[in-house]
Amino acid sequence: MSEAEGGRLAELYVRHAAEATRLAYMLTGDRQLAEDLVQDAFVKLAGRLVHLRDPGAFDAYLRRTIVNLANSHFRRKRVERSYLNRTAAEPPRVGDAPDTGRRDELWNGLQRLPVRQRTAIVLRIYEDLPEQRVADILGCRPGTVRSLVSRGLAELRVHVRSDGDG
Amino acid sequence: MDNDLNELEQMLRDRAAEVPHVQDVPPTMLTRARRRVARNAVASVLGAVVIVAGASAGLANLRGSGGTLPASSPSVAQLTGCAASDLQGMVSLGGAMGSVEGSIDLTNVGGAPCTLTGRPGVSISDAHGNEVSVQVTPSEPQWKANAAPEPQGWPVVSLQPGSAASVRVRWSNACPQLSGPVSWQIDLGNGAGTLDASSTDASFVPPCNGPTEPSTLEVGPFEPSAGA
Repeated sequence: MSEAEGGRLAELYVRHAAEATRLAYMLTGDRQLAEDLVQDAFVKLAGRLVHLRDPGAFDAYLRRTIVNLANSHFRRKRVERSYLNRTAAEPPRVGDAPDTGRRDELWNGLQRLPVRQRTAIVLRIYEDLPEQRVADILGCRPGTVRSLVSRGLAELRVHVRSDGDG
Repeated sequence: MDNDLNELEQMLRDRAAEVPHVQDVPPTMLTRARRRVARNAVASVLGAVVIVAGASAGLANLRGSGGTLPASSPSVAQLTGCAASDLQGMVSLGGAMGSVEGSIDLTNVGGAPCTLTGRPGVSISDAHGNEVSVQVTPSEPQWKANAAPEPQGWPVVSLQPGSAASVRVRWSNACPQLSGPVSWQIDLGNGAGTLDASSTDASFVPPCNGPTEPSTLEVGPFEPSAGA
């Protein structure tokens, strides 16, 4: 990797890392893991900068890589379910925001959704991407995105209601 | 409903605000990036050596057997392995004797040619995003099942932008009976990432024929798509 390529990678990192970390944080619910995933994404993309003919496409490329890395993380570790059960039972981690009631319930509920539903909700509602773009990232049809979001929101309401009751 | 969405959006924005705006470039990231680029370069050189050696052996065989040389063959020496973000996946299935059988087609939607080699990891998720338990077994490629000639360059599959590779799949005995839709996840291996493959008919799932038997998924290696 030449000095110029290293400089370009650093420039892209400064420009995009914060937004990428926010997306990874939404998908994983864990700040440290999010920062690790973003570093991994930039390392992965480093070797492909030379093929990036449209610099404007980097944003989309990075977003897709983050989503894939988050999915791979949960699948590879095969701990999503146990992780969610564990965090559901654990008191808030040190450094978590103080309990502000319903918004914390929403956040915890979001992290307990299956990863594809969570990803679809984050990309549609937080990133405000059109259904077709979300479908491209998830590799599915726009109708499937609608269904994932709808089912995810329904499950989220159930989680929030049961947490509120408890 | 709108209130719920607004509240969810606001909660996400509040959480996002916890991440600082300005981040320094971690020196470890640049070091890892340099190592990765260097490793890729070494792998490309080694790949080129293997291909040249293989080509030399092939030429020697052809000369020895009096065969004719192919008109031309694309050089794959400079091509890098496809990353999941370069590909778009599509699953095409049909019913076959109590199973569903077909292929996963992976189209290069990136801007550069790349290669696929080996056999991907394939998993299936139900409508709730939960992974379906399947026993994965390797199967032979479609070209071999059809007794067709070995594709040029196989087992390396070179993908020009817009062209597709294919993976043969056969899924049997989904118990308890799934009602669909399901989604397919393809792990390219070698750290190249995982992508989701949409389906022409996501509700296509095999019948539950043996509730006490495992669900099986036969997966073939990458091969050039029949339509390529």
